[in-house]
Amino acid sequence: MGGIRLKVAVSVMMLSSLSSGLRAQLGPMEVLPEWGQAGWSNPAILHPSGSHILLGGLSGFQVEVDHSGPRYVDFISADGLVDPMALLERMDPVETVGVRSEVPLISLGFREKERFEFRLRSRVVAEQKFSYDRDLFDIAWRGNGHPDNIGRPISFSDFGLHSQAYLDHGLSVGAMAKEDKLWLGWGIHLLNGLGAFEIEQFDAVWTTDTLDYSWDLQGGMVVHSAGLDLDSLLEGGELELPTDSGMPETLGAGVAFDYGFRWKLTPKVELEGSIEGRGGLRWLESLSRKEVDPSSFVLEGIDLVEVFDGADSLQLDSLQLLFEDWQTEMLDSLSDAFSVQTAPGAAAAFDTRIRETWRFGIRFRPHESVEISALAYRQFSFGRVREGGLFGLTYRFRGNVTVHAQAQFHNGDWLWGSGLSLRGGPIRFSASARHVPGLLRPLEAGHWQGQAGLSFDIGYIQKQKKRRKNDLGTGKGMWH
Amino acid sequence: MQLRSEYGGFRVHHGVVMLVLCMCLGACQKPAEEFEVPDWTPVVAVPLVDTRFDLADVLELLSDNVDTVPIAELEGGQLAFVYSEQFSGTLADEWLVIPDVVEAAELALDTALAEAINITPAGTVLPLSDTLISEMIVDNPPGALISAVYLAQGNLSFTVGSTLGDEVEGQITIPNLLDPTGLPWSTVWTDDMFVDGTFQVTEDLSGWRILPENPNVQDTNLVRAYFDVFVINDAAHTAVPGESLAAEFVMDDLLFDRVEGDFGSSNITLEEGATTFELVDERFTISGVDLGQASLTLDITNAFGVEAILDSVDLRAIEGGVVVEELNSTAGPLLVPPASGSQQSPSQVSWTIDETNSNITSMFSVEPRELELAAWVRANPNEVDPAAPNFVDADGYVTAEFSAEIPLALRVGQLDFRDTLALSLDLEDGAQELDSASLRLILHNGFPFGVDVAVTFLDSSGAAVDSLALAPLPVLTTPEVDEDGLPLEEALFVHDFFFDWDRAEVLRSVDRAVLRAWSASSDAGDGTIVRITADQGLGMELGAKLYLRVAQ
Repeated sequence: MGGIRLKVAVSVMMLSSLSSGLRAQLGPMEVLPEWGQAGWSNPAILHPSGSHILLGGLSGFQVEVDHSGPRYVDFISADGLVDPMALLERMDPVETVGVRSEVPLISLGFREKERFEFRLRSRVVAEQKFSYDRDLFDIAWRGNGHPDNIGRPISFSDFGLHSQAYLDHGLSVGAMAKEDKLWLGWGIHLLNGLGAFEIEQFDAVWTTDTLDYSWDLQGGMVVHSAGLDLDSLLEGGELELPTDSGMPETLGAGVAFDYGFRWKLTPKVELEGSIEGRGGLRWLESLSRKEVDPSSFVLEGIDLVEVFDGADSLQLDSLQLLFEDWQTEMLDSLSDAFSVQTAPGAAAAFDTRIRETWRFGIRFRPHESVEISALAYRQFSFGRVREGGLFGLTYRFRGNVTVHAQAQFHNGDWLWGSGLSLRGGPIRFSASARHVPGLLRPLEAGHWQGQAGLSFDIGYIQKQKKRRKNDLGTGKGMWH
Repeated sequence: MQLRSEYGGFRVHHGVVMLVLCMCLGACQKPAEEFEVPDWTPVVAVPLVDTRFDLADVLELLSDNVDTVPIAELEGGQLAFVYSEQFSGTLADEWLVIPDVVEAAELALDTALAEAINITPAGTVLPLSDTLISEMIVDNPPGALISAVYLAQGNLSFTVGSTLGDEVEGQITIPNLLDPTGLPWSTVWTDDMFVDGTFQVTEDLSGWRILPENPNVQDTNLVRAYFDVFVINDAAHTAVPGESLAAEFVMDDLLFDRVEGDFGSSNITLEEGATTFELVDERFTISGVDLGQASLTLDITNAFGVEAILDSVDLRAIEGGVVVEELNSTAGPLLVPPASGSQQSPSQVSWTIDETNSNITSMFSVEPRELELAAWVRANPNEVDPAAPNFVDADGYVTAEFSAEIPLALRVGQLDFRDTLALSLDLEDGAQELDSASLRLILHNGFPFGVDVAVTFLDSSGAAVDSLALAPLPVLTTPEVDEDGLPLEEALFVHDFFFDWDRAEVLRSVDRAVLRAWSASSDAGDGTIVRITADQGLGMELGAKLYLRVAQ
């Protein structure tokens, strides 16, 4: 038993550390146009090439794993000595594990010099957020009788699981609104929901009385889903997704919008800002909803008088049977107190939001090849708001090489990222990392992420400085 | 891929190589192959018991274990020691005994009578008459005047013996003895019915009635027999003086179905005897006890058709052969009505004395005491109405139930208890993951007294190896009481008992345990009388802190 528990504990700790990947921040992909995705983050940003095509996952498949908890080295020494107390001390009351994957199906972009760019994209997005309470580990390691825990409401109420998958068909445009001064962008996403699961409400509080050690359990839950048979899952059945001839069914629909601007204050200074992904999905088909009404249960121990009143004798065997009966009654009472109920009638449709990012920044080009950028951003994901700031230094060399380094402050940590984009003919290779130390010393880092991709770029190869003088910034804006 | 530029291709190439190299180096940082986790020592706090004993539960436990007098709930929730006993009482056939009726008479010829017979012509009939009167003297109850006896059984025999040489015939009638049809008993005999000079007739008196006469205060319960004798002169015989004729009638083996009359004013005994009254057994040592209340009740059932009166009870408390208390009461007498019509409709009345009209509280003590009791009722305190005479049926009875209630309103200066219990604590070795444990006992005492407990564990040689605590534990903390002697609020006791495997090893050798307890009622030193009621209770909670150790 002890060995099993040890394995479970170590596995949980390892999961906590190995999933300490990137947080959902901004990186070169979202900041710099050379990566082909910046126009979807701020539609006012135009791609440097005349047109670009990204096909399939190779062009930009990415998985983001975000764990807000301690790092591996925070509680495990080099020789493998695990320090559970260090784990607890470095945990916040609530930690999250976020996983987001994007699989691009196709992405196209066409640009008319600096005046206009038109983009189309289809992708599959799957994202989920799992939240858990530090008390979960605390109660497992130190127990409810520890002086720090007894008498304290031990809350698991921040436990949550939000998950959704959808197809995102997007159309985006960016255009010069004022000659060489202002660019505006707008995008729309038509969303086809594939499946969703959401713990809308979860309350669970366990309080152990300091005097008599009685347990006071309070809780309630509301869960709904689209495309998941919760009845089957609750009964231990397999996860079944509704499909039609091998293709996932559309269970929900929605729309989201992007807005962006880029304002060149001077030839060297430029402001930018955007709202990406403002919208959500309404889930309409294959719905399930389960509820556990808010309730409480108090475990106070055996009522000896009642037990002895029902005893034919006080022999050990009969007492053992009575104790087993009492256990059964307690479990039945517990099940009754927190019974899972299905709302009568068809489950109501429910709404979810997709990840939304607001950003505002400034870019300064002291030299034709050098760009210094500063961005502040706020992200909304499954009801949680995260904020951060980014400082970047970009060096563009002859129009086909872009090197980028950035320092990003997010959630109390500094992340040190970099990226490299190379274009040779129609092929552009790009790679980036939002936190390079996470790649070099992954066990010491709390964030890990890497990206690489290929795209086909056509036209507008950036010329050498002396050759492309006056190439950009001429002519009237699209809307003038 | 080799990327070259006009100005910096070489450096870019090296930058890419360096980046890839760094990534490879980074990938070489791997988690440890084996992990070592320290012993896992969670502390699990779990409630084990949460129960509430009301006084009935406690008293049941006490009755089973300390052999106390039963305690019951009185009206109003007051609890009391209750002692009751069914008196033997008096049965009808014990109290009223019908005497046998025996009467005899003899006619002997004297000279004159003999000559008178001889000078009469042969065949002359000489009639002689006499009356036999028998007085049924009733000793139980003495002086009883009986007006009717309905016999369940009985025998009558009438015998005539003759030595006369002349023929003798005759007849006898007992008008006080009626057959079931209401006719008086009589018989006739002739000379040829004599056998060897004797004539006898018998009668089964079942269902017959005797109706004695009570003409005056001197002549009571009279049964008369009238008989006539006819002597027929036999010419061949010369009567001589000394010849005789003897007659006798006997009614015996008489059992009644019912007797009516005036049974006088004798006593009807309810009980005479002694009992030992012991509230608690010898394991208790008690001092400084004052009983605040007590009562004694006699529930009398009278199935006699006799009015009676209860005017006193002799109750004496004896300790060591010495009378220490005698009951004195100012309670008025109790009139016990007669049964109505028959013993099947008895009357029932109660007589109660308590601390307000007697010294009953001093009769009881927590020390063992012998109580001697004599109780009776006196019949016919009022004159008997002839139209409604006394009656006693064969199944009649007079009895009483004695009950003593000692409400638990008392002051106990000190109550000590000591007992030695056989005990074996054979703890199993199985719970290897249990490093130690702390058992928390919480008692909410709602009783107006406190109890301190000490338990010492002894091995087989009698040596003390462990104890529950270093000092006696006030497991039942004494609560404060109000002016009525009731607890203001429950008193709380919390104590943690710590166990580890070292202690468990010691406890394995335990052979017996000495339990000592000390108790006193609240504010006993101030003379406060406390009351114990049914709504008082004892809450007990038991919780455990289990210090687990999961070795890796």
